[in-house]
Amino acid sequence: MTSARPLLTLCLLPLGSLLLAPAAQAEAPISFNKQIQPILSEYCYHCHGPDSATRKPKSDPLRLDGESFALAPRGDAPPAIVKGDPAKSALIQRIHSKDPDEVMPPPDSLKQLAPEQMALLERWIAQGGTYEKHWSYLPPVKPTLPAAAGPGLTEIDHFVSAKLAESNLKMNPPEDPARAYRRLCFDLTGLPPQPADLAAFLADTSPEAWERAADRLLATDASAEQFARQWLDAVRYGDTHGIHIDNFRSIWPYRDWVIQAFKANQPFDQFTIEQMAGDLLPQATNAQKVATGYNRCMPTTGEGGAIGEEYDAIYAKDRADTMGAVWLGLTVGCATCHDHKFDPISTKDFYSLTSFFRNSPMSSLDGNNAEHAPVLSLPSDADQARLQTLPGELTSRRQALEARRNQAQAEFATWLTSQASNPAEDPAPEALAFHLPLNEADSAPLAQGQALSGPAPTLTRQGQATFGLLMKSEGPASGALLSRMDRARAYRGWDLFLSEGRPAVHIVDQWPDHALKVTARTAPAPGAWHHIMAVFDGSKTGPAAITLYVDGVVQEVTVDYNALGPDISIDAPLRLGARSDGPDQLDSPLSTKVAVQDVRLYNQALSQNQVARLALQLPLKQFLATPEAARTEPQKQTIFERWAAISDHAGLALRSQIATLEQEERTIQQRSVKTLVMQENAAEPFAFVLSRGDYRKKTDRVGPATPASLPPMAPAAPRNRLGLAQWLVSPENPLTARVTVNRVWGFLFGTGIVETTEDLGISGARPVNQDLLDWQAVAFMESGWNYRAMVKRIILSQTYRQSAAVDHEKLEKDPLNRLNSRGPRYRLDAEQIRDGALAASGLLVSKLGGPPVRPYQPEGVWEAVAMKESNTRSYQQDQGESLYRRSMYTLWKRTAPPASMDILNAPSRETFCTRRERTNTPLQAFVTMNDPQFVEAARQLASLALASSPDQNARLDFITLRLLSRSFSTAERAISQRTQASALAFYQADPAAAQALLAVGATKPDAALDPIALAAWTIVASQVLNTDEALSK
Amino acid sequence: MFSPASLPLLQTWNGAVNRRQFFRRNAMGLGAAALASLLGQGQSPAEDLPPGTHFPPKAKRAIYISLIGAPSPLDLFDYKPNLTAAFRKDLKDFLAAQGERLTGMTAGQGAFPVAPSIFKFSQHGQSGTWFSETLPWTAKVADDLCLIRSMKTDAINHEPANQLMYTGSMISGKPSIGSWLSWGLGSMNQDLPTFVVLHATHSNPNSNVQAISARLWGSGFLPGKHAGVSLRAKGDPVLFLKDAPGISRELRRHMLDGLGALNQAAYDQVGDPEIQTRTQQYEMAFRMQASVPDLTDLTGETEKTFELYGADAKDRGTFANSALMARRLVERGVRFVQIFHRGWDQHGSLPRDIASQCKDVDQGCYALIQDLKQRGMLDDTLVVFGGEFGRTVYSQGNLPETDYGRDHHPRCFSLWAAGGGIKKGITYGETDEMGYNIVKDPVHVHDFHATLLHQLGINHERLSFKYQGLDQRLTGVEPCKVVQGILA
Repeated sequence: MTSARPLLTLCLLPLGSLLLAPAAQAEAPISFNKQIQPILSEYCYHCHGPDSATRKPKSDPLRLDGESFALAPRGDAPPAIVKGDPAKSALIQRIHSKDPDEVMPPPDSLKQLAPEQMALLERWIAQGGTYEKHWSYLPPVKPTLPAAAGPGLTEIDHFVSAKLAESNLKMNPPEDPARAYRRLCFDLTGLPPQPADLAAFLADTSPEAWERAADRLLATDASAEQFARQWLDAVRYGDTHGIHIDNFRSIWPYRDWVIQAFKANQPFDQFTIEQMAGDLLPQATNAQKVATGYNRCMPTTGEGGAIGEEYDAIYAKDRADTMGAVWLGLTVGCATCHDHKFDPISTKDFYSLTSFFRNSPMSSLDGNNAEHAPVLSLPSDADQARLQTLPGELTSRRQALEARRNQAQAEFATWLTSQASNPAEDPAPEALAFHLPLNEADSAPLAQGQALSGPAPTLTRQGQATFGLLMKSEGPASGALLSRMDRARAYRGWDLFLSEGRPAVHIVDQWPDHALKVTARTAPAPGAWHHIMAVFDGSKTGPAAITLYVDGVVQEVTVDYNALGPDISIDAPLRLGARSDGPDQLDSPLSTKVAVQDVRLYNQALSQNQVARLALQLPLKQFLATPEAARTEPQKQTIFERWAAISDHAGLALRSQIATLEQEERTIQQRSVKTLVMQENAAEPFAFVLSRGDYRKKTDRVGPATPASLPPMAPAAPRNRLGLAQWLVSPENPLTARVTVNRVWGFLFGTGIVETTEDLGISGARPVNQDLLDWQAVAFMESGWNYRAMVKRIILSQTYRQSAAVDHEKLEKDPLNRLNSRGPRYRLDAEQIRDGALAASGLLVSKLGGPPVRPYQPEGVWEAVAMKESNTRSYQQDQGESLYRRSMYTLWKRTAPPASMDILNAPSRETFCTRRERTNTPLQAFVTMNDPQFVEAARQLASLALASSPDQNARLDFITLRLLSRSFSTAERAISQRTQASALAFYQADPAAAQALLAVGATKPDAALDPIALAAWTIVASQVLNTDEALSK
Repeated sequence: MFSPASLPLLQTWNGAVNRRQFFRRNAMGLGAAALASLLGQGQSPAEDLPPGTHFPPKAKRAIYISLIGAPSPLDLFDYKPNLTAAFRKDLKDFLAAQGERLTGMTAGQGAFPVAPSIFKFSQHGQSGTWFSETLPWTAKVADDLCLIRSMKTDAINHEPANQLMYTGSMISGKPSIGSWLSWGLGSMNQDLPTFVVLHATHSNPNSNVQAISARLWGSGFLPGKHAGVSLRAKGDPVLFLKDAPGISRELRRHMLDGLGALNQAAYDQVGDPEIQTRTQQYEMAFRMQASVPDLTDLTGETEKTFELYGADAKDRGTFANSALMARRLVERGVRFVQIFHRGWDQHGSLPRDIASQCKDVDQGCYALIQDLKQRGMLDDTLVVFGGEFGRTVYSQGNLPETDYGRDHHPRCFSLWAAGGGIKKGITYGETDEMGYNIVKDPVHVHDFHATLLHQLGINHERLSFKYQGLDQRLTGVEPCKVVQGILA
């Protein structure tokens, strides 16, 4: 490809130093993709690349990101590149220029080419200056297998061996079987091997033993959990909304769907389509709809002042970015404000991509609602069956009640006549503790916050009370109607409140942590009188302690706070229209004029019937006071409805049946799990190109389209998320298979073949072994996107199975093991460390899926960051088996991820994460030494070891077998025994210390064991658990 | 967050060895991670400059007091005497002409009545700097402060505004100021983290509190060890710092000796240098178990100190306590301390709530400045006090005589800085009569960041990290400038 001629050309250049390159090197063909593109991308493309906005010079912009641009003549000046002639190429002239106005890159860019890089550019031009399309945009083809020799080599090993040979390296011999099996178990299941399984594996000496073990492990639930956990990092799954108040979000059925998909080894193309667009599939199943929760995983806000349009733009970008990183390996988001600096993605491409995700009925603000629509309700099978029959039963009862309404008119007329002479009485006069008629002026607004004289009954935590009044407001008011509360004592007391017109009740020990608050879902209409009453029954727990009535009808409520403390008694005065706040100041005064009458307080819980009687009194009184001729039909109708609700016994039976059925329906709906899903609007998706990414600066309207530089969508494909998903996994797409294989390689070896697993574009890292990646990518697609088979191909390779030992030569030539000159060995992920400790100590509770759990967490982690309104502010630790579930089920609060996991580099799940960081910090040592979860695990493991045998060596074996899958050497035993002896001496001298150590954790230590010995062995187990080997795979 | 693009230096075997040496060198104040990338760009730092700096720094360290929720400049710093006459004047037409966005909280308001500050303003010190009566203590050190009244931001809501203020970008996932400094300048001490975060409690239960999260002190795409370490006000100051009950210091030493020996045995067999690093981290943990309690143990402080900071400086987690802790941290060689104090979002009941918020922080700020000065540390310690945006001149909701609230306002806000080579006793920048627009010397958040870095010896354009194909910087891609006018 090259000859001496270019060298002669180079001789003409003024820079003699560049000529020192040995001829042998000059003759090696230079790869544009591997050697030149990285230089151009780093030093030139910012001003001479795909982004037209920053292209320079402004007068005659130059591009270097394509051969045709670089070769084009430029007025009087030579073209940037003259094929075969570096000296005549402006590019070469400019990089060597001494003139600060001429030299490239310009000094103010603070970038400077190294002499080797300049030489490389020259040699490349001398060799012809040929461009190539970026490697990842070309479809992968299966390369020919390079020759390699050795026992049991797979295709993967051929590629790896060939690459190693270039550096004069060879693979290590196979790993010790037990260590290899431990590696396999952690990689496939996230858990260490159980000793029995390990023994069975070691006993199987057949050549198929490894493959059989792999098959067995891949088929386990634990394996589905492990793969799902990795996927959930990528798609940023979390259990809270993430922004601002960061309330709980109900989307864990999606997490469970992912587990089930891996359990079924769903083909990756189908896996993609169902998540991206399961709702758009014909006759979509519930499971396919649950899968679309993928589209709902991004953080959302419910912040009061947030501007919906701004967040719509943010969400769309987040979704496009995530799809870019997880499937395409492209940083599409770089084109938010300007055309991509490096990759051929224009802002138009980017906004066209976002349009796919902007066509849903999801509201911009989540309302801090766990069930932010659209949601799918998932009743149990039995409930589902009942939901089929319920509506029919309800309809027939309602029809019967309607018929009864007509029949009852005569009875009602008689009753109404009787009331004229004999009006209704107080339904519970003996329990009336306070009564303020306030009937002198019907429409006079209430004096706000005035303290009321007279006996003020005291509400007690276990007691009963009923309080309420008649009210008429001018508009949807907010503030306290009636209260007995002391702001200075953290609002202890109670009130009847209006929240934008909706009646609410606070019962407070300490606000907000020990308080109960319920709010009616609807507001009674302003401008009319309404009877509002609350019944408190302290013998009931939770929100059931409050029943809220409007006009005698029980209200459906939202429960805003539900953690009532033990003491609610207060000696503050009773107030109307505000809450007390010191002598002169008011708290929560009513925001709008509200007239009030007939304030009542009963010191017992009135029945529904009693409350309804009270609600009947006012309309009845007004009706009777109206001259007969002036009485209106609606007035009469109101009284009839209220009368019927109390006195029409035939109707009451029907009402009660209806109420029961409605309650049953509500109960089923309430207990049915909800999960956030995606839905599509009927219209065709579109988006606006936003100038500089600013949601206020809309420019061109664009439709749904994939980036122009990639293969197009199939002509028949729908222009929506379904079409997009199909395009992602189409055989023509050069990226998805590579990106997926690369990411999985990263999971198994610690680093991807391309290190930047989220970016295979021009600005991303280069593949260390492109043939290895491409061969696997094609094999993956040929297998029908078989995920498990892809994993299996890797773990069956000698590359994966080789020993992790490393010598000086390999450290020098392959320091980070990117060439795979040895087996993978690095620190385990956060979840593997915790789950591994739980598994080794027998504490792990294996249960697939379900709502998130709350294991141990130090106090204050949530409180330190949360808003007081947040329902994930105070951490309520679970009890029992929830403490010992796999870490992937721990409730993931995005603004404060599980503390121990966070310290061990688990991501916050606020943005996509396709590769985790692995730091090595002292804070991590604190976790595995002192976190109660790990102390308890060490103690339980020690306890099992002690019970297993009286022999010291056997006990130590018991521990190391579970944590390291091996027995200690003699030397290691001696070290461990020294620690054990020190610990024993310490606890013998201080038995109370032993008791204190053993008391850590929710499980109780085995009482049959000597506490001193157990404490000493706990130290031994903790020591093993903290070795680098135990923390590494 | 995913892992960073590797530093060139760390990608080599030498780097792997260096990773360990690095740790030790850092510990002695010799190393800086950014050195690698700077060297990679062909720039070798002058021999006599501290690592990571581009010119001699004025400040060695910084303390940033972050008031989350955005305190109202019109009620603390930015005196507008003419507003009194404009009480209740409706700004509806004025706002329409300005074209500024309104948040979802006031967009629907029928009228926008001008709410003059209820607080009295007066001038203080030789400089004559204006302060409202809410900050009597801070006013006493007026001549040490540089008050900037012309800060501006791009964001109108808390989350994006806080992220811009503390990470330089409204989008999550970017490194915080402290993590940039940790990465760029390295550590100055052996036993404590380089970037420490303190969470000060606010005393008023009614204050409107905004959420914060680790993203404000996270390391973004920089290596995780540069993230801020929160010293907690409850329980262990560092999570799980204290040994489990029933484990004495001696026993822990025995356990770690054995652990080191077991790790050494593994290293002898496997040869992975990471094993050695692990052992060193456990040793650092052991040292922190002594250094952190020593840090938080205030028994050595004199009564005079507590007089200075106020009696509540003895209570863990109060602002006064945090200010004192900040001083103790920087004394021990911590590079960057950030104190978060929440509860400054006064949409309503501003007069009541902002007064108590100020009371929380006022004396502590005064004390911190005085204390640093007495110890000769103010000259090379930069102290900053500020929120994430301003507040509207009009009242949110209706406007009774003595009560009002203010909505978010991105166009101008105030902030003060002291020490670290910043001019003393000056007021910089000006807003119009309404406190609505800046009329003189605007300082964008990025300008302020550039200035902060500048005082620490860093050219903000050169402190960059390659990520997603871009040279990422704290100050972003748009041009910005060091605020020369406030440099001493």
